[in-house]
Amino acid sequence: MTPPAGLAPPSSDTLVASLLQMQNRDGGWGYSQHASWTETTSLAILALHAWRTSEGQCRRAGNWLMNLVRADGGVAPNRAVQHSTWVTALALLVREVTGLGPSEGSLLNWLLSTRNVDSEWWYRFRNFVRGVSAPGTTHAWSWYPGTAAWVFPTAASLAALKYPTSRPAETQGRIRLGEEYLRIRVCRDGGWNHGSSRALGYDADSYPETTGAALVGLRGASAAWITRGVERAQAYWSSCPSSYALSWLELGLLAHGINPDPPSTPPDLRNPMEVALALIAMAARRGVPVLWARG
Amino acid sequence: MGSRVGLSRRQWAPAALASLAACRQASAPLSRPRVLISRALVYDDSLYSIVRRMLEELRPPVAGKRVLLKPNLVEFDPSTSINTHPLFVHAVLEGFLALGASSVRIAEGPGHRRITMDLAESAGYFGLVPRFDELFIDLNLDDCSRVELVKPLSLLQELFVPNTVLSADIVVSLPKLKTHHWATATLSMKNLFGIVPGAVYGWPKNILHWAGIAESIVDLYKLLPNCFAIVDGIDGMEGNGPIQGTRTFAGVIIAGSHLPAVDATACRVMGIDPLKVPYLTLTSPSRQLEEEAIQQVGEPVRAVAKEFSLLPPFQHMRWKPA
Repeated sequence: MTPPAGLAPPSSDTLVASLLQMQNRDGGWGYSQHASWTETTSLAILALHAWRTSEGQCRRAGNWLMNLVRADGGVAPNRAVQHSTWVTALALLVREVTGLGPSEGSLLNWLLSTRNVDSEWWYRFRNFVRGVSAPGTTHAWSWYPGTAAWVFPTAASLAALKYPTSRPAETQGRIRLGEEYLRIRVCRDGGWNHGSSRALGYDADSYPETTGAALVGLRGASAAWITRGVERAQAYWSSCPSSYALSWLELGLLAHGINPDPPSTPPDLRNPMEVALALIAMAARRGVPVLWARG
Repeated sequence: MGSRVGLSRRQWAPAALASLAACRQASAPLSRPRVLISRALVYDDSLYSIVRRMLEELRPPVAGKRVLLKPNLVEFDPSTSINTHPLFVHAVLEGFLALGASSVRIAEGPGHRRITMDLAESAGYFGLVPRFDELFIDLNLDDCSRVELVKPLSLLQELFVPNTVLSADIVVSLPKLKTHHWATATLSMKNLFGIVPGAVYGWPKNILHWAGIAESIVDLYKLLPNCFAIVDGIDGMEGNGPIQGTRTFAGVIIAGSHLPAVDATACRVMGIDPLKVPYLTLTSPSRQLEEEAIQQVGEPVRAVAKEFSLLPPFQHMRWKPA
């Protein structure tokens, strides 16, 4: 999917055709050409839905997602893994946007009942007793059960919880805590990295991809620290060589009302996930966002 | 609506093999393990002959075998000494092919950045390793199988491991010589964190921290039946490694088939007492980490040792040549 230098980026038709070609026989999409994974499958459904195409293929993918639901109501990252993880947020987003995949209730319950271990009182008490200085946190979301919260799964969970225009008070409370987590973990340059903005007294810098994703999660919120994050994303935009990071940056900027000029040299799209993300970003640029509700 | 374990017959074999490998007594080498130190001053074509001579000296049994090289790719900045140098990796690849390996591939799963191929491009791998895109596998996104850990030291009971790792005959760890702000030093054993798939555990692979860093390093090592290590110690990193430390020239390559012995030797080269590094003492009884227990060939440690600066919490771990 590498366009020759100086030529226009691939059209949405080309990308949709490419994505459909990469669909596995079981209905899902993999990170490469092999087994299907929940993350790529969810993004592919959202991308195809954004371009109003391939309903049959989307339904097959939605069915594949339904088979990944665990007894606890969450979703596993692929068929080999027997635990629900952060990808439950993506499945919820798919459900809210398209009506496909597992039912909203179980996914929402899992997301609301899941908490990062580092926010639990006993963990904080233990650190206090031991004199350990741990970074600040709140009830946010981890990648994998039984671990700490991080920026990307928190941003994805926020996007999923914010999609419907009205949510009950409990959900609003978790949204506020998730946003607070992102505030606490801002890096010194205004953006976000994986979530460790300061370790052992040393400041760390942000990454473009996580800065973009965090801004998507923060859509609808406003504060000076979020404005700094938007400025950081704009600074990254002109020099970022990565398709994956560019798509998240573009989505993050669009989520805050900024429509950046397309990159002069479109980067390589290396795998189905990058193709799906590029399609989602292209659709959002044309006023068809799928990671957040219009209006 | 419950999911089921999707292991194919082809995937069961390597998973079962790995479980058996976990039973091995990693701490009991039959004889004194050999560790070879060679001087190497620059990243240029001279590396090819240096690495080849080292492999001919150590002769890892790789004829007809599938070799998997595992460098350490961490961050984008090519001006730092954060990543294993691509020319070093290519010299090792050529060296194993010359020994008769049936295939040599390169694989890594960075801990913080999801965009592995972009990271590799920025680190110079595409430019310096011919056909890199065909040879490389992103372990973070590889298909994986569940492996039950036998008598784990960490809190982990199982791990999902990339099938590329499970199907390799020998995994060659190619770390950078760096200090580490949690583990003291990151060398061939700590480098194995990169085989744990981000697509399952996330970025970072935080579960390994919660299960115990030192203990998880040992469990990962015990998981792999056949390992070899070649440490890129030409430029190393001191101070607040493995990311924010300072480049420091050490001018060495350190290699061997017994990873604890290689790492213990590398620690001494850095001026760190390996008997105070938790993951090393958990892997091997202290007596096996003593200098006398390691058959050290090539340059003597004392001739190449250089005190890497250490963060205050690690300064009590200083080792000085007698």
